[in-house]
Amino acid sequence: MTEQQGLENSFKNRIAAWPLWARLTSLAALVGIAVLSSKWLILFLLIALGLWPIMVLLGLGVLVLMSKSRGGWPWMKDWLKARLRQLAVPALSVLAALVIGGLLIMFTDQVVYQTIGEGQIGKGIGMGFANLGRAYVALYQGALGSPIRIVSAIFQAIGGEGIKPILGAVRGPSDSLVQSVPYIFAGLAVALGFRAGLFNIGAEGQIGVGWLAAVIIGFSFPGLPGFIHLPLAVLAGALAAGLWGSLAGILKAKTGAHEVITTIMLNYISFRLSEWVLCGPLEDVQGTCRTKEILSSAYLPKFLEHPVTMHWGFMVAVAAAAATGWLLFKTTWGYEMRTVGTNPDAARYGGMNVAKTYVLAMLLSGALAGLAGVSQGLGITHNIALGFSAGYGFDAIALALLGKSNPVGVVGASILFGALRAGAARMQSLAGIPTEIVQIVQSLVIVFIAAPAIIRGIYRLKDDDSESGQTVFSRGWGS
Amino acid sequence: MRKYALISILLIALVLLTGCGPALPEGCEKGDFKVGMVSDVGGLDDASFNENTWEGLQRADDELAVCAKFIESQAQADYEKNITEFAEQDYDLIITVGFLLGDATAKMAEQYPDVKFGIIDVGYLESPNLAGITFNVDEASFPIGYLAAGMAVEQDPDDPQVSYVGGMQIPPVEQFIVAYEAGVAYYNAQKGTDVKFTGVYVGDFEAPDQGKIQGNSLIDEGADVILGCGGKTGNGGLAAAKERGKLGIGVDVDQYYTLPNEKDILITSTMKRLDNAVFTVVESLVNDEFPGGGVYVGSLANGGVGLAPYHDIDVPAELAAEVEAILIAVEAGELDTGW
Repeated sequence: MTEQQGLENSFKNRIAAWPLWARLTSLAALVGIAVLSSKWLILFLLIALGLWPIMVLLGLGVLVLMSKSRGGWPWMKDWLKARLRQLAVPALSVLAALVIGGLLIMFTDQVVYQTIGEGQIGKGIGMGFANLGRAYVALYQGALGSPIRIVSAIFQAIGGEGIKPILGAVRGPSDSLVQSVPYIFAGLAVALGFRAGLFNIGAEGQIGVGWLAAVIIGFSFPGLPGFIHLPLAVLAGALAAGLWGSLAGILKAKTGAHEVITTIMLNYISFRLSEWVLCGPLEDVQGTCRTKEILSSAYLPKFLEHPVTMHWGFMVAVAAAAATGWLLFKTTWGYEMRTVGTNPDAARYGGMNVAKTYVLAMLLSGALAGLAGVSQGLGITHNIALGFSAGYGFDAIALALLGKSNPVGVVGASILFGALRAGAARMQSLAGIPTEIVQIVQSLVIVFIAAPAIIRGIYRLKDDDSESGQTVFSRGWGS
Repeated sequence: MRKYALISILLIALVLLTGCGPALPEGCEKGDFKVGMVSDVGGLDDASFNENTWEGLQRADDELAVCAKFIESQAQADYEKNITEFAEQDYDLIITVGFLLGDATAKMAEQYPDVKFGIIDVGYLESPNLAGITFNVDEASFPIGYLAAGMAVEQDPDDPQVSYVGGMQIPPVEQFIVAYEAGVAYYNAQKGTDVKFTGVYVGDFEAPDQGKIQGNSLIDEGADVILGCGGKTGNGGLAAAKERGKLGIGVDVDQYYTLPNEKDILITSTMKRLDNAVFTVVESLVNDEFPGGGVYVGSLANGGVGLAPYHDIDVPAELAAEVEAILIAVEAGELDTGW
């Protein structure tokens, strides 16, 4: 272990010894290479997602090679055990939720319970399992694609048919990641609020404000080059939503009004205002209740051609997660936020400006939520229409809990939810199972993760103390 | 450790299984025309246009060599994705329900020139593989306005009044209201009466409570017949009429069957037969006569709009005969419906 750390450190030290300009240039070069080859990187990422079992096996192989130099099997066993312990509760929660969801799929089918009611229990249960298999196969393929189809598409591509078949085959993974983008942003928004002791229920409204602002900038400036127009639209959306969110922070700081009340009320205000704006001043064609289409210079670019809809929003979301983590755990502002979140009185005693921290936290939380709307508006719909609200802001509360208010956890939870949502449409179209089943599965996952004792009880896992008492949620009501 | 190994084996088995997934959707046979429906965010159980459209597709599924499936959209951002889902599965026809899907449908129709598209309530899009499906609901609401005025006079000869409880003020709703008003005015002109026409747009399709409050205040102002016109909000207006012993008129489908509580006060319903319309479009596809680039217009003549039969409320024979005559005149284009 120590030898390895020494190696890593000497590598880090060597880079740190470079002059600043050299470090910046090499960083820029790396980013440039990544952007230029992004199309192929993304294609590889999507194929890897679709063929994840192979990737897992490859990873294990690398691990075996690595373990040779540091103690062989015992070291590898410990390493795996540590990882599995971390993943055990979330993974088993998903499994348990899928099992219960599966029971619902089996026994809510009219034909199945009629057959069972007629006394043909075996036949009924058999039909139930057939339904279940069809439903979950469709769910899996909608979310991660069919591995066999991906492999055969790769062979077709090698055979000279171009990448078109591959694009069709990786639509599932691409949809999952696209669907996870608003979840990541909104989940980060709520998680950041939690860390600062604020319960931001207003993400839904902030999403709408950000979406609307980005779209307005998006269609307003013809002739602007993309590298100015796109960032401008993104920043406008984040800023508008941030200011909207900071209203609740200001109210809390100045008057002590509880942010749960004010953010809920601000939600209603933004819903009703956007309805008026969309069917009124900003309506494009009479009777459609939607705005004009944004200009192509404000589009969040897509990596590949249709039907792969993966756009830059996902990269921005991952970057935002990294930035949120850095802000919370590596900066003074973040330290102040976390301190205020743990105990505002102590923070005040320690000389921190609690009021400022509340406003700042709500501003940042609102801006992150706004980016969820921005990515939908600039990346997918290219306008905003009545019925844009999809409940991302409310799901985000669950995601922040699921990810334990930790940016990495939020990203993981969001990709899970995105994958379930992407699979739901396929399940409905192929197997006729309502998308609501997926909502039930999502809710069960949250219940199980919020109450890990259930999962530990079912699977007889040992309690692991390191997990409890880490997370700081919003403090009690009315405090 | 053994437990984890077991779980991972199970997971890998699951993944291997998914390789041999179903090529055809559940319940479809080879050679069937595959028809997919993408709903708007109202969902399939809205007791209104999504549900009615799906009924038409189910009939097509039963009676024609057609296999119909649907996807319910949960958000605006889902529209294109859900249409893509069907298009990538090589569906022959994709029906998108409502003007909210206009943009997504236009884009996807361009993306998939070999797939046929039909869109409800949108007549402004033009594409060789796209058929708009719209309705001349005014042709049915004009005679019903006349009928409502006649019934109001029956109920309250001294101060007859017809009132509507509307959803959002958007063209598909206004089309009903404007023609109702013209029908009432026509009655006044014919009979020399002074039947008043009032009403409210609540601004929401899903607010039965608001609809009921507005219905009650319209009744306080003397309304004798309530025209429900706007999803669940309109149904709230009909609930007020039931409670206060007034008459009502339903909308979109024969609401005698969808509103069991208010059915005995319903004179009739103004029917917008989405089911007939989509059935006709599907049938045209099967017969290779798809009206691509054109618009299917539901009218009195083709049964796309119409009056529901009279049920529990007795309509005087004379009035019923007059309404019949007006229906014929409207169908022949001899009367202006005001729309």
